[in-house]
Amino acid sequence: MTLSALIIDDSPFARKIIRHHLVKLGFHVVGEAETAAEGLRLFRELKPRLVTLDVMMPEREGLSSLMAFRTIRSEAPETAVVVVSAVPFEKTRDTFLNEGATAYVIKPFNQFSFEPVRQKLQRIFSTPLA
Amino acid sequence: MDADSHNAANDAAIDEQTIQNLRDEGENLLSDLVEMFIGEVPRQLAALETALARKDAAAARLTAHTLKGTGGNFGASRMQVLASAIEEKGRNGSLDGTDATFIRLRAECARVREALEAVR
Repeated sequence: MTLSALIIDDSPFARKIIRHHLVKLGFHVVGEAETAAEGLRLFRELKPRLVTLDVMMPEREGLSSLMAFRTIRSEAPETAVVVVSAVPFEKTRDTFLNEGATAYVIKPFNQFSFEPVRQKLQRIFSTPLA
Repeated sequence: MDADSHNAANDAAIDEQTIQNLRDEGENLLSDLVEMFIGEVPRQLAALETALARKDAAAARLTAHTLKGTGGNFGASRMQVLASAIEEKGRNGSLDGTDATFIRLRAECARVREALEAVR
């Protein structure tokens, strides 16, 4: 079974690196978005099993990352959302995790820092990930 | 660590271990990211320069944040510190003194680019 993933991040570097790690784990990246608004549109259209969401992006169409996150959680609580952030603010992390984020990972990350995320995703999807 | 003290503390433009980790990922990840750096950073710097000229603190904060993140991918710590200094000013709503920091940031980005071209 191929698991679909959507990457929402304004940084092309982050999108490239996240895609690399997700593909390595066996995910099929079905879409990429640079803003929360675009991400939400793609989320509704593509219905991915996993979303990676950058915390801090330029706000477009009045939609912040947190608003997009809450909408995704509300519309499809079964979707795993990995929140990606360059800022290790505990309050921000706690907000997302308390509201159901699968994981909160600090950028930049590599195979080692991504490992706990892989383990969580493996548990959630009950399938071995590479 | 602030932008000034960082100068003396760490002279490497990029972090060797971070680069090695990217290289170890294979699939041309490192060289693709270097290409991206060469293409993206001039645009990001131009956007930051415009934001600073317009005294647009919110735009400066976001663009500086992006540059900080860009540097972070390569362990370009001085680049990160300089971008972070501008980001912080933008967050506080006062861009006083950021012109000089921007000049140093632009020079540092050139140094990072040179280092990246040597390792890709």
